[in-house]
Amino acid sequence: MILCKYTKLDRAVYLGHLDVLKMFGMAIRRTAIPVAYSMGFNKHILLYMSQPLSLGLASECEYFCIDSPCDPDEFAEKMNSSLPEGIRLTKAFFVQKNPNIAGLMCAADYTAEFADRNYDPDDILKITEKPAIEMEIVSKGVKKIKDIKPLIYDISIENNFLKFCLACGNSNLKADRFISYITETTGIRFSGFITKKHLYTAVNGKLTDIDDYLGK
Amino acid sequence: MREDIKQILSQVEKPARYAGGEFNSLPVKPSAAIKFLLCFPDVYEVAMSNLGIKILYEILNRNEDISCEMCYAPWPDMAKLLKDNDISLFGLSSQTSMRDFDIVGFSMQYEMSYTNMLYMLDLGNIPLLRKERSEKDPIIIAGGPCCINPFPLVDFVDIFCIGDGEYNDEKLCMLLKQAKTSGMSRADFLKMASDIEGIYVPEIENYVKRAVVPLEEAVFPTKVQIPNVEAVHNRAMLELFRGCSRGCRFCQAGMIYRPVRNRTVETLTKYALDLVKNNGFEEISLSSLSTCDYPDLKQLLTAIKPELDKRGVHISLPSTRVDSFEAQYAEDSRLSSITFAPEAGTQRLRDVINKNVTEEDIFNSMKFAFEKGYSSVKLYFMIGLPTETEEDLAGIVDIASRIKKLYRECAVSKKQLSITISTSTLVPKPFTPFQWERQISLAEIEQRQTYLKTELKKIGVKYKWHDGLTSRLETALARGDSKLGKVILSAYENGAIFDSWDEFFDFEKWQNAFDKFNIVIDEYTSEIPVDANLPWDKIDVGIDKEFLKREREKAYAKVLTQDCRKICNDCGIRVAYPEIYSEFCKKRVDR
Ligand code: SF4
Repeated sequence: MILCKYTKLDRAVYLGHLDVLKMFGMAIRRTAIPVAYSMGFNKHILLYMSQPLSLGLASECEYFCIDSPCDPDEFAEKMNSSLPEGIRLTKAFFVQKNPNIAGLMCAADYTAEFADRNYDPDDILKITEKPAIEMEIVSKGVKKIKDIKPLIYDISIENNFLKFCLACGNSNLKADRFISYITETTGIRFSGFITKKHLYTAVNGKLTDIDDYLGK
Repeated sequence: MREDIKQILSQVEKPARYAGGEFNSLPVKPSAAIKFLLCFPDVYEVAMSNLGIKILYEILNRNEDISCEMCYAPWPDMAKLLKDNDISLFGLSSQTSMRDFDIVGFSMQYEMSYTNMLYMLDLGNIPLLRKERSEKDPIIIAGGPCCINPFPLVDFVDIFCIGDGEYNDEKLCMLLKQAKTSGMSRADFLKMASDIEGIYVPEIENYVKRAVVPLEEAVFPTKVQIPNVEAVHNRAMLELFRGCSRGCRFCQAGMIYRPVRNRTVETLTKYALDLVKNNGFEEISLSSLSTCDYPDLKQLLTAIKPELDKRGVHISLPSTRVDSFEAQYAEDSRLSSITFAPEAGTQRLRDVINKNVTEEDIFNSMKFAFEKGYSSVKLYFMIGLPTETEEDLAGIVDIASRIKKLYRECAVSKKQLSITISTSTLVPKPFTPFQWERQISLAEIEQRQTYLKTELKKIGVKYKWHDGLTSRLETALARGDSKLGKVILSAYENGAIFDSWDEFFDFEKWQNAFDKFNIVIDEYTSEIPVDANLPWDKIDVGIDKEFLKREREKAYAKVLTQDCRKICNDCGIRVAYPEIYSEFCKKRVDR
């Protein structure tokens, strides 16, 4: 199997999960790369994608796994000549089996750009110093107050970007929801896309980049 | 990406409809002399299934002086966000506002999209009435089959392209470029535009003759924009030929695209292979009015089949003659349903409409399909055809029950047979032998539908029908004159948009608009005396009115007219387009 890491940037942030799947399928047919198909009536390409990304979020660390006899570098090169704006394969390597990224992941790094420079960094840092950070969330139509503090692993400011690391996976905090919470409570505005930068798994209680964990 | 657009895209449903960046999009040329916004007045997924705009997008962008991008009707949630945030409708590639383009062109494929044209202009902040436009507003042009009778739209459109659009949009752009450099006024530009063959300018009310393009040399797009959101028909489209030689009397397309112009098999083979390589669709559709009539179909299928198989692409062919050799090529492992369009329930009525299909054809096809393992049948009929009686409706039911019997006798599939019968109501269209016919009344439409509903239910056959009010409106708009402009505008002001969508169509809005100007729809749907002046007489499509009259008389006499591949029926093309005639009709008949 080949595991591919890809970006979803610029206009491609608006493509839905299934649309991305279809888009990869069309790219594969264009390039005529040999891949495994499902059996049965409605034959389709066997392509396994990582967790759906919220619409409107950019990412530099999405993954999919595919069964192909093609050399991984060649696979990436051919695919990259046939993908729309914003979608690029940045890594491709052999794996014995589908590593089930969704099951491995536990945290992700994000960045968001400040809309202007009229903000006080302390306003944000003060939030994290509170003993509990109560945010209203709507789950299955019911409003609840939840303490999100345990889901925030890190937060810092660098070159007009807010960088933050949130839990993702079984316990999860949505990056777009977190950013709107900051805007709601501090009035600080952001522009551009929130970008997911790295995906982590836990190794002996330490956050380790999925790529490092898989040895690539 | 514009920040204001980004903000609203985060709130809208299916933002990919408005994001642009489709694979195979052609680069925007910021310094091109002419900026062209090509619009399709329906939602993204429908628009993306249309071949005409893909042809124009390719032709226009090949020209160094033109930068063409696309725009579709935003879904109402997006329209609201655009208005609330004071953002004008924009081209999807560069996000330039509609009013900053030089030309805004609309593809008018069906009457029920008329209000959507106004909706888009409105969202683009462009005056809806052409008389209210100034020098700095874009030129609004329209083309496509509906424009064959442009009169209902003359209040809104500056320039109409009548007939094939392959050359004329580009010609208009080049003329506008010249006009801009020489500082020509809008009025003078329009005057000059009216001299181009196939161009109708309402301001000038010029004589216009339909543009007919010899297809072989015309540009055909083999690299098409791949939709971000799956289109209604997500497949590669290959147009084998234009026109149809069969001469069905109700069919407007069969008249206004005359004569049949084939592409050569060599050219088509190349296009087909390029289409699958460049786009990656799972399916390629060989689309023409009567695809199986293509003389070299066998050769074409043989040439493209191996490469298509290698890439897992299947061919979709309309299955009008499924017992034919070609059908074997179109088979796919899914054995999806087989469709057939007898159009009328008895041989008598099929002779009236010149549909050269016999019961034998129908049942042979069905038998062939059932023996292949098909278990699902879709049949299309029309109601309200001239001379129709209850016997003809009973004929529809009879065909259905005999198909059921046939299935019991020869099916190989273990599945239960599923038959769906769909009826549409005859919309008598301009430039057809039925252009003078009345459309049956709403009461008659509903009564005939009820009959079929009841009778088909008894034998367990699914029945689908077209809404009668929609059909009446379609007739009014298709046969309309310039008086209808104010009605269309008023319907739009009453909130009519996306009229082709059942969930939006609200006849009240239209009825109120007609009432406001004391116009009754019946005026447009009742029979027209054969010697009356017709609004569309002013448009020369090259079809002789005498030919249409002859065809109408033959209809009532139940006399068939032969296929143009066998004899020339003297429809008028010979006189109107002598060169085209000798190139396409004469050669074919002589063979
Ligand atoms: S000129 Fe003759 S052959 Fe040609 S389309 Fe007309 S009737 Fe048919």
